[in-house]
Amino acid sequence: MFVNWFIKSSQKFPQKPSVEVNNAQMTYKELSLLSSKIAKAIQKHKIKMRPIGLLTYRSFSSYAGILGIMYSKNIYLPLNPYFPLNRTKKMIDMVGCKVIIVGSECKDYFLKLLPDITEPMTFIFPDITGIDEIFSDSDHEFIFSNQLEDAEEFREIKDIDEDAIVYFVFTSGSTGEPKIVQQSNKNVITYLEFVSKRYKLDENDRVSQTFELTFDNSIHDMFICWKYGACLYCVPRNYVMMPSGFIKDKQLTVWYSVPSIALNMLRLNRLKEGSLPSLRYTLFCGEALPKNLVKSWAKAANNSTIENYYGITETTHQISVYKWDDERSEDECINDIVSIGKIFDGIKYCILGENKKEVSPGEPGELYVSGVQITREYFNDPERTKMAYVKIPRIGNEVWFKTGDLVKERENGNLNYLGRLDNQVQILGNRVELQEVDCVLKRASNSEMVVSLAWPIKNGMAERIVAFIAESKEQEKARLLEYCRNTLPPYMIPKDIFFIDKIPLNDNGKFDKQKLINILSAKT
Amino acid sequence: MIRKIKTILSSVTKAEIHEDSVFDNIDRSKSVEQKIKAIMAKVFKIDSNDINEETSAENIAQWTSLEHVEFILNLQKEFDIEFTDSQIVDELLSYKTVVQSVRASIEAKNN
Repeated sequence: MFVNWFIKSSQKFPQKPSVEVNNAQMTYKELSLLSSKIAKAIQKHKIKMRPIGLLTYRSFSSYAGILGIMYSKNIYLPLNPYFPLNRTKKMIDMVGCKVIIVGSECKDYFLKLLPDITEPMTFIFPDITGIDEIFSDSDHEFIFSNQLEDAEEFREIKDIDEDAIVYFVFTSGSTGEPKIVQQSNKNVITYLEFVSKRYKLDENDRVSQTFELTFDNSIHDMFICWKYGACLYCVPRNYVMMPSGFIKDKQLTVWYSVPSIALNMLRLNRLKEGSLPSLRYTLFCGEALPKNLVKSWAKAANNSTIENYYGITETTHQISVYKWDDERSEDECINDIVSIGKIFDGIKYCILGENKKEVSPGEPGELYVSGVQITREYFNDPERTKMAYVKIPRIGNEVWFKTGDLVKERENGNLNYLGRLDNQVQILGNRVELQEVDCVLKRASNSEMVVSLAWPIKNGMAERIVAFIAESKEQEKARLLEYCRNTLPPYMIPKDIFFIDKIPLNDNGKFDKQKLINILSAKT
Repeated sequence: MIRKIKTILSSVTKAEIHEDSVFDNIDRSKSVEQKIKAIMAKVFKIDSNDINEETSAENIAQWTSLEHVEFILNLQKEFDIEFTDSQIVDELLSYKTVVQSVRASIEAKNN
């Protein structure tokens, strides 16, 4: 199991830094000890394979919390203090957490959340010795850092059930209800083993950690780094949108992020030639990668290999990869978007068109994938599982995951991503089902005439969401936006809302999104 | 399905790296403060009369990291200045500090 990768490195390099947060470092031994303490506190409750909430933010508690939960063979549910309280409460309820780990950086958020938690809960505080505002007669149990018992370092995690779930990821759902993806030990280790072989890292490497823990790619950052005894550099929140100074100061050797972040650097003129020489590997994922961005990055990070990953949460991180080559890669772009490369060995795939028939070579179609890395079902959601995880009897007996992505395969096996077949968009690499935004706005406005759109699309990437509403009972834009802020994660909140008399319809009587896009284009 | 594919293919716009300041209608005769307020009002969708010494990323919900980059780009373009990394990340997070930083950058440029 991959958590043993960390344990092995902590035995091999106990005094080497394992992680840096806000200019402070924790050695492998220190992180291993704190993780063991947390695991021991969890084990006292005699729970296994149960969801444990992790309310932390870019802190030592985040990493020790994840490791501690894995040591105790439970499932972690990453929570985010920048999500509305309602959503966090719903996440906790939907999976049925009974234990939550809370970092000191989330104390204020926790105190706002606490009155809404009615079920008795155990809260573990790895770095808080006490909170005055908590009443001792509460039904909850509070374990503060000074009550955490010392524990022997875990030497190896044995007898791991490979089908056991490691963590839950909430993704946007078109009905307004989020979907819960569950990735198992087998899914994750299959991915990590394949990917880790691509990189020659050692204990002197400095690896970025840009992704929120609610974004499953964070697992890649941590475990690829820790496998080799390298140091993980947690990028502080205010640096994530503009990290060039951070990369230079910390002399990072590995960078992994969504392309939007690199695009910000380009727009702010931070990709000057030879300006990021420390980087050896650059990985992008989560969004279409524009060719011109890679060309600028290649000049700035002139010692770096650049790779473009493709995958979705249900496929457990990435399933294909493309290594950028200055000479030939431009020819393999479509619409100036970089190829997503070949599907990993060990993953079966097919590209289907009408009536689920395989398309002719080189023709566009929907990508279906199957294999041990692919998740098997959504949590507690047979209906949506049935729609996404399908059998195609003509091809065989296996279950295929229907990606909803339109791709095209080249003769050499490299794929190009062409777009979505539904209303899903990516905002900063986060999946957003536009219907989920519609759904919230319909509730807030008491109108059915709601259309949200990704706008503007620049450099092949959706930058924001905007919404059109007709016949709204609520005409105060600020109130509608306030409702969204109380319900949706930050990246799903519309940048603007436009009230119009009537939503234009197309020939089929459907909302005419193109006309709405034309209205937006005219406005700017 | 095929029709859907065709629609998607026809709607995929060519990706080009382009810059367009959304707001070119800011009156050049205005003071530095007024120009900054006008940019803030447009980017964060707030009323410029509501902007005061206390206005900051802490109390403007729309001042997200996403909008922050847009804000910086507009300031740089309007005043023809370039901020340092630490200004962008640590300093330009309130109306007051933005006015100070912009004034300092203009002064540095003119000297």
